[in-house]
Amino acid sequence: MTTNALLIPADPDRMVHTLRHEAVGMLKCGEGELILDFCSVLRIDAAAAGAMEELAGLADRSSTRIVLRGVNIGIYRALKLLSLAHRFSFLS
Amino acid sequence: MTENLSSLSDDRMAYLEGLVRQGRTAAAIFSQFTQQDVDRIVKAMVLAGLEQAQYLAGLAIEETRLGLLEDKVIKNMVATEFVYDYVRDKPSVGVIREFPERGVVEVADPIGLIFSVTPITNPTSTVLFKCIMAIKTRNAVVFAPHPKAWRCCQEAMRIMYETAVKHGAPEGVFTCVESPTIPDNVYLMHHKDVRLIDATGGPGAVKAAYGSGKPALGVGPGNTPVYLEKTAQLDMAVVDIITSKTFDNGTICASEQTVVIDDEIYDSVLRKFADLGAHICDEKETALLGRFVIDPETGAMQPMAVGQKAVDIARACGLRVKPDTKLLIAPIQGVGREYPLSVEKLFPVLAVYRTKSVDEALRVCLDVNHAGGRGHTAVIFSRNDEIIRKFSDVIDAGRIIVNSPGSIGALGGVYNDMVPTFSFGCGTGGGNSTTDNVNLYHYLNIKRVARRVQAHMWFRVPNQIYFNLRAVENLRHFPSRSTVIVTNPHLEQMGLVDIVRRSIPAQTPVRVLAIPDAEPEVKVVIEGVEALKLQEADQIIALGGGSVIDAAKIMKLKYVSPEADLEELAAPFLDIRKRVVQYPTGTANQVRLIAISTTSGTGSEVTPFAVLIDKERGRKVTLADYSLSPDVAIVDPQFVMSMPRKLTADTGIDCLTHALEAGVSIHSSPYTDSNAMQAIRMVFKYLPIAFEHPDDEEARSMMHNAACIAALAFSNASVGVNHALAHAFGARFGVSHGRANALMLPHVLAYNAAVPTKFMPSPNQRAYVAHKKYAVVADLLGLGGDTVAGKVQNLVRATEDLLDLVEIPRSIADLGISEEEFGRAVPDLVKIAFDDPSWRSNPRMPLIGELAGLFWSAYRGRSPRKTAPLAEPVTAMEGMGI
Repeated sequence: MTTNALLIPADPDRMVHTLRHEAVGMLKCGEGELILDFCSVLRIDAAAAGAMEELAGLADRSSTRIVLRGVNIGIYRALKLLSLAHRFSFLS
Repeated sequence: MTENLSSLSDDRMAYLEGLVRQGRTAAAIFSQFTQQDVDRIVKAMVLAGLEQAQYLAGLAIEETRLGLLEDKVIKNMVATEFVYDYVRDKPSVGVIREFPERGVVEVADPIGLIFSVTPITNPTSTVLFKCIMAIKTRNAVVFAPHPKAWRCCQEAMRIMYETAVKHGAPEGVFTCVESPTIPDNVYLMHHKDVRLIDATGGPGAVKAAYGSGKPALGVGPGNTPVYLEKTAQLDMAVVDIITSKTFDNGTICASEQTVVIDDEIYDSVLRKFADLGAHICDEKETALLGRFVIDPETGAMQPMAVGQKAVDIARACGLRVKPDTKLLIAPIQGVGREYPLSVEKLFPVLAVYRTKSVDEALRVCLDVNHAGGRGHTAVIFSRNDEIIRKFSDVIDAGRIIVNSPGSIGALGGVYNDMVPTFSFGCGTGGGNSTTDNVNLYHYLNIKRVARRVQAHMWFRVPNQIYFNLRAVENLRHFPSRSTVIVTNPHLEQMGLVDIVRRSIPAQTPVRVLAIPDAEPEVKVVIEGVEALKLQEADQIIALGGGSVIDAAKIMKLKYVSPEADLEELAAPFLDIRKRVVQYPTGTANQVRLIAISTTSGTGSEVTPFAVLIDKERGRKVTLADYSLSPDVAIVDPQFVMSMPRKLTADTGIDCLTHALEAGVSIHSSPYTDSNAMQAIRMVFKYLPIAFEHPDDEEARSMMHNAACIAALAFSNASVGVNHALAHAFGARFGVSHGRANALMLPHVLAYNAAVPTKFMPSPNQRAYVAHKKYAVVADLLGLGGDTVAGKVQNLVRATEDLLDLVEIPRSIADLGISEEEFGRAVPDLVKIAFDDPSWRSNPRMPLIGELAGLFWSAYRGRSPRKTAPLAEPVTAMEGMGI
């Protein structure tokens, strides 16, 4: 099984860009597992939440599992409130 | 609802879905924000709102054609500046309040997406207010303004939104439904992602909000009565009423509607109104006005009059008034449909009523209040506090404004210290969920974090305890003008009363009151009190066993507090600190109670308990209160030297049961433990000796002390399930209390030492420790054992050996009670035992079935095993006679 990892930048614009382009690119070209590393991210905004929802949709259609690493509890709660948390796996 | 929704097109539904989706996302993102974030955004919004106050007021006037520009500017400023003044220092994220003394912390959680309906009367100010509240509390809002005010509201929201987003708020935090319709509102009110509906508007919107099944803050209509009472400062009252009723042309729903004026000041008040620009209508004008501004069909105000100037209304209905008329005043003679102007009028028309008395005034105010304004606002002008209090008692209003204008007063923060708001909760009278001025706390889920707290405990004992041989001689230290010795005839015959008499100073008049040797009856107590009164006693000496001392305790209670209702005082309770009844602290007579016990078991000479038999009602009444504790206890072994062997055994085991139960009670403490443990050691050592050698002075003395020490423990820690079982069994089969306790004891020890089926709630205990405490007892007694279980087993065996040694029957069956008879009794015994308060301090909560099991264990009896003589207790305290 292939595992790819991607560091998500803290800057909101770069975060959305990374999710929309790099992460989507990795999803499209591989199978297995995509680890998105949120260690440096303190907060997500609406655009990032939207990008993550799109990613989750793409992952559903492929056979790739998306793992979020280092997500803080505030972001986790926002994902729960958006009913998105169950679409990802989480790694401390 | 279905009908309403069917008129929504797919496009419209998609549009509304989009608004909800934006709001839901924004609310989720917002949940990550800190207090600093929201405070920064709120401040910027407030400044923007202040900056645009006049612009927004102009838009509101232009669109709604209601009210006055100048007042709408003020409203917008109150909605921003005053609201900010209230919220600026209030935490709204995370911990918002702490109560360290109660171990409680309040933590704020946002609600999520709020659907908010706003009114035509205060359009922009309400939007500004709600936007500030929402950001302060990290919520998102979808606004649905009144259809005739949505453009100005949308603009107010836009200003707030753009400022908020510029300063970091999530996109989509506010949205506004364009050209909102009733089906839009219905759709949004029922949307699963809307968490709260905040409906400030007409009764229809409020009703729909509450009907949606969602949590809702609906606020209702008003009909503000005003009582202008003769002691009021009239000049101030008249100016305040005009200021309030004409503010924004009367569009605030808290504004004055009917002023009820005392007869004595009525004419003067009307003159003052007229002098300041009001037009006082005559009868004909009042009728004309009523027909014009009130819909004769519905009895409600005509919408075209709402928010209009007095002169315009007058002109429209053909009244001739001065061009600078501010207010139209219409005298009315009653409230109801025959008096159209007695309803809510959101325009500068004010009804007045002349009243002949305070009672009539209150009645009319209440009538106005109930004519469409329940729960909203009421006003009183008076300097009579008693009348203000009466008015407040009877009027159903969330806000009762005193000596100030109703509308501006109700808004809060200007004339008083109420919370500034643009949304008035009207309580259940108005069909609302709150009477509050709606504020930021209504936009939060407040979580209470409650830490475990330790209840205050105590160790209360009589003032003085004299012990050892001839301790009775200490009576000489207690001067008395008149002493009554309460005892029983048997003890008197034995010469024990004479021993007591010899120690009382010779000059003290003494009377002996001999009562039957049985649990005291009410009649005996009443006769005793009469004797105390006759003797004008200032000292009671109770000489006897538990029954005599209990009787004396109750006599003292009734003598000192004749009003004491014994039946009420015997009411059951779970926690003495929270009990319903309070014992009287009477002062009818001052009397000292000295208790001298003639048995070594009950410890009644130091306990706060007393048992009384109510023969008339066929019941036993147990009284418990520290005020019952004797003032002085004398523990003198000379009074127990002649106790028969059986009584020695029964009372000695009673004492042991007290100590063992207090030791594992959920109310036990280091203070009670020390007494309980010591009493247990003394009983194991001295009871066998006192039983075998009744003349052994030391053994008698130590058993007498042990009974008192055990009583000190259970007076404060209480007893347990053993007593509950023994009370039921002893009463049914006429078995003495001590013997009944003894028959249950080994089985209860094993029961409490096992893992409970059900734990007893016990905030003062950190873990289940009964078995461990029994193990400590086993160690103290030197019983050996390597494990807790082993030590407990040794304690049970040692207890059984002690029972054998003092010739306690091995089982209930050994008493000659047949299995059939006992089996018939068990269901009743279980019921009675379960009703007994004693077990409520037991470490293990007994189930009904377990009580039956314990009764049957006691029936079958303890194991037949005979062991070696009792192990010697640790002897480190031998020097102290222990």
